[in-house]
Amino acid sequence: MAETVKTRIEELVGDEARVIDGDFERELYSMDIGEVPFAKQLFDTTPELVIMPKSVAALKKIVRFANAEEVALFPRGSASSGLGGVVPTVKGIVLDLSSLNKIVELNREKETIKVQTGVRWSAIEDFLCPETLALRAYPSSFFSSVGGWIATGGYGIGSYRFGHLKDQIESIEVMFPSGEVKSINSKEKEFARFFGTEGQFGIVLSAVLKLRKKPEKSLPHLIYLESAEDAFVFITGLINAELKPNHIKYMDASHLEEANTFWGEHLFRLKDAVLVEFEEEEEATKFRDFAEGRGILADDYLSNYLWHERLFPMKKRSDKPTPLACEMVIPIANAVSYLKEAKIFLKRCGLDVEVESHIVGKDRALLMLSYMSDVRVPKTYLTHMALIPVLTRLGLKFGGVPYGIGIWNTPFINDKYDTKTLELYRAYKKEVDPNNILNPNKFFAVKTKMSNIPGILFKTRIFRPLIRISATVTPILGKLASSKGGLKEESVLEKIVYSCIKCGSCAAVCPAYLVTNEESVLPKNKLYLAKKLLAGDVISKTDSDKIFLCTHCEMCRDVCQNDLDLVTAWTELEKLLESQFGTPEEAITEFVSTLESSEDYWRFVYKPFFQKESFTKEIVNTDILSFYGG
Amino acid sequence: MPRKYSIEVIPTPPRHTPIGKFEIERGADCINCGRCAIVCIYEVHKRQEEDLRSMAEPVEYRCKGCFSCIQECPRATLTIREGTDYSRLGDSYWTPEIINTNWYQAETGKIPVSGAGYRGPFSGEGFDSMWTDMSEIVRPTRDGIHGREYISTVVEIGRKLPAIKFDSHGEIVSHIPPTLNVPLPIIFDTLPFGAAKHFDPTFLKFDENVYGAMAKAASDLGTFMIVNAGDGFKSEGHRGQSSHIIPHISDLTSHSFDADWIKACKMVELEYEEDVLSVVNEVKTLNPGSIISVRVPFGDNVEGIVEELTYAGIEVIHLYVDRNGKAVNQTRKKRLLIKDMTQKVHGHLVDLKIRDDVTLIVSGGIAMAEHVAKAIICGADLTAIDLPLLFALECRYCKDCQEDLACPVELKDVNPEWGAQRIINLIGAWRNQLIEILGAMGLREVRRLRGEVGRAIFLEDIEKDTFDKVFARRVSYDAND
Repeated sequence: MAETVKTRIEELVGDEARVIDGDFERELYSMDIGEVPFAKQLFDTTPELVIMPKSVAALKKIVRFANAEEVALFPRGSASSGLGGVVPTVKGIVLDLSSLNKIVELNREKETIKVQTGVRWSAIEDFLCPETLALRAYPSSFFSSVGGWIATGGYGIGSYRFGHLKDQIESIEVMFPSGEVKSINSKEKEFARFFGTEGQFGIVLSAVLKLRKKPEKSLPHLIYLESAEDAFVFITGLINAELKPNHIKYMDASHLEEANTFWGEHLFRLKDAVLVEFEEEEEATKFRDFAEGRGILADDYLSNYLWHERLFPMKKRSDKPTPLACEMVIPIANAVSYLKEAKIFLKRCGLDVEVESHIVGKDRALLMLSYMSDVRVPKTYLTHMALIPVLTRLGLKFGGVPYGIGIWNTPFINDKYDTKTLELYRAYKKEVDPNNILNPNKFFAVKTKMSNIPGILFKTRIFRPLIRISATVTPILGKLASSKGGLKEESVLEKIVYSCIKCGSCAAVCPAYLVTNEESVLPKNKLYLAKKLLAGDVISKTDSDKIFLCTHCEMCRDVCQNDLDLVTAWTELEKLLESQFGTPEEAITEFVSTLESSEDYWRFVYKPFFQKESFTKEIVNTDILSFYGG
Repeated sequence: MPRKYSIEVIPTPPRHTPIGKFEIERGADCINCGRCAIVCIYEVHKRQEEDLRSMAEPVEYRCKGCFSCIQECPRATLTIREGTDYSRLGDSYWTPEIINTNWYQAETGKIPVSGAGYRGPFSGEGFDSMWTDMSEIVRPTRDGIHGREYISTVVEIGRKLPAIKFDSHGEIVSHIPPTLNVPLPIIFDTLPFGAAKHFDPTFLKFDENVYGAMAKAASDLGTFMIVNAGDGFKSEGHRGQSSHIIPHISDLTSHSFDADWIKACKMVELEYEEDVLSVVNEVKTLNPGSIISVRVPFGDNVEGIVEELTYAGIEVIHLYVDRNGKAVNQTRKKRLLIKDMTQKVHGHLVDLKIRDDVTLIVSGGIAMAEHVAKAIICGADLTAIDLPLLFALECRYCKDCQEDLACPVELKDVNPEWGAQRIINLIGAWRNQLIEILGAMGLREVRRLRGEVGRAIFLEDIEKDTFDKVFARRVSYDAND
């Protein structure tokens, strides 16, 4: 079937879209950043085709074709969420929207910018660099796409001041499965339906983002407090004091401990802390008065360092490579009680948890609990994974709602949306996508392979007792598992392949990806290939050759959230492949000449974020946005 | 139109890494974008041959300091600084710049470039105080000069008759003196050091290889090479090229020269002594067709000696100064410079109306191509060069050999073929510069440049013109005083 579909689509769109059907490449599109070992058992996660449309017209043709033929479509941004929102469930076609990334129009008077949704937030910031305008809120995964943030969370840095993403968008353009394109502005009731619904109703093509005057200053302040309780009391006080912070973030002591470990120095006190950023000197002064006596103010450079780190939330913190996390939006008033219970529970399971929380409104906080596990030890890993729904369930008790749904949070759909909303959504889905081609078999309800027998587990009624069992059993299993001790590490490459969390930060700075537009040259995907190679899988020469399309510029290492030694990894990986296939000299020569003759490449190389000014603790007031072009 | 004389230059890389003017450092945050390799026209920056994705180490010695790579590097990760060994090269006369520039020309055969603009001295001693006339530089240059237009660099060595007499049958009755045509006004002089010490095998090897390279180059270029007529230069290899060799006999009393060899040579050079004329006659008897040159040190009463020799029928006088362009045999406190002395001798001969009776070869301190043109403007017919030939063979002018220390570039081991090509490249580059100068002056042949002081501006004259009016002081700028 794939062959005929491919031919027909190629006939339809010609040069206006890239059609990818390589085995390895399709496999790359079968996952997101979540590490779910049993996903392949439950679903057909490998798409039959990946299509990268280069124009809206081409996308329209593809969508119409898919609708008529009832082929499932899985729209995809940078795949930096981990709940399975972009993971295919029934083969189908993945729509890689990264080529629809134009900045359409900047309206200086109205202070808005119209962008196609494939564009990355970092690229918008970069574009705004010479302007007097700046983004309002942005996601902490700064390299992810606009479309991705619309379809998933919508909360990030600056949400305290500017609110949810939907409050910052004037209008969107949506393509429905029928191929119809509709512009919807924020006053229409349909508007909100496209936020956080993971592409169930249509593909968001473009958005008009509200901007604001560029702030003159960034004044982050870090305050140490005695406990989580004190911290949230402090935060509540701060909110009631009517100060105007841009952003408020809570971090627990283990978060700061991790920073100390990273620097190998005792920089931060091992206390819970609150990081508050102001943009006006006046407000900051008021804040310092407010903080006086309530907590201890940290040195400027420490505050600045942590502020810089806000865009690298996934730093590695133990010898275990795989992070697991539970994200919830929870009332500030209940946050402490929830944290207490969650921590006690995780401690019983023998896990060190780390907490970070963005305050996203006067009464709500986005809470992220994370802990490290090891996907190479399947049994333990599965037990650790099973704790996520337990933690979510616990959060519900305290009035929380899961941040995203995707596949793995589907059992909680009833908790995220009230019955009325859900009914409305179901009706709307039927109306706009009668053939159920957009991102099917998740979100509303999971439908798995094998006549959906495993899928039953995802039904709320069955799922709840299950996690109750798991909540009682896991502490015992967890303790048993964690007492085993770690695996021994062989090479840097070996160590790294399991540590990559596929966050995709590397995609924004990879020149090889820029000129080739090939998913397989991306650092995260090269590591995936390495993982397969090390596991003894057969790699084709074509896939091996692509590994060598790399300038060794080491930019990926600079932005790697997990601070992986990618430079050594590439050398080791190339050596391994060279011993199998030899050096692909022709491919390299062609790559270098393509690179050097690419105007895009030279524009890219001269972008401000390439002008490296490494962040050290000595540099005070260096902000990541100026690092990336702000 | 005569067949065009051209010198075939072939890029000939050095054996040892030359001491460059600049040191270049590539920082660790280089992203291998290759911008530097694209903008560098001197091939300092290149991608690695074995892996094109990475940049190779910069070839520092080729850098001319144009700063293109520094300006263009998107990561600002390249650093250029002056090389630490560079400033220690040579001495105050043979400056690092001169040595380095000659290396460059010997390697590439290209005319030198100075990178970020020509910051040459427009004042100073000797040739530096002369600025050549470039008034015709608007004429079609480059292509015209090196292509369509023919500019001759040929000079003649020997006496030129003012007129030729014919008899009634149209037969020449004048005695035509022998002349030698040299395709360019540069011949090779004896080397100031490194010359043969008879017993040391190192020096024999030096002779064989270094002189071998020079002899081959002289022969290929069609020019001549003066060698000491001692025992050391009798090996068979060089006999073969004796048509391009001018033996120099310095010890006239012992007559320690090889009569057979003298017979085979077109020109013989004798060191000036009181009774030089008797030896001249002896050589003429041995080889009537040969041209005799008398080598006279620039110094006290040089005009008198030249006048005397010219009237005595000597066809060629080789005037020499020391290595640094200063008079050798002079009692005055402030020693005169080659430029002033040449002008003096030339002017004297012109005054006596006997200038064309004699060919003047000038040598000592000729370090750059422009010195050739400037010496000719001062009145020389041609020049003889020495040290630049050693530079072509990578000599660093460290003078270690004079203290019996090992040569850092192992001159004695040069391959004569390789060395000859390096010398040919150097001379090719020098000749092109001479042609550029001639072209810029609107001259078609180098012979017309001789004594053309109007083709240059002398700093002394400008100073006189400018400041005499202001200070009204009686200062004599006459070089004779």
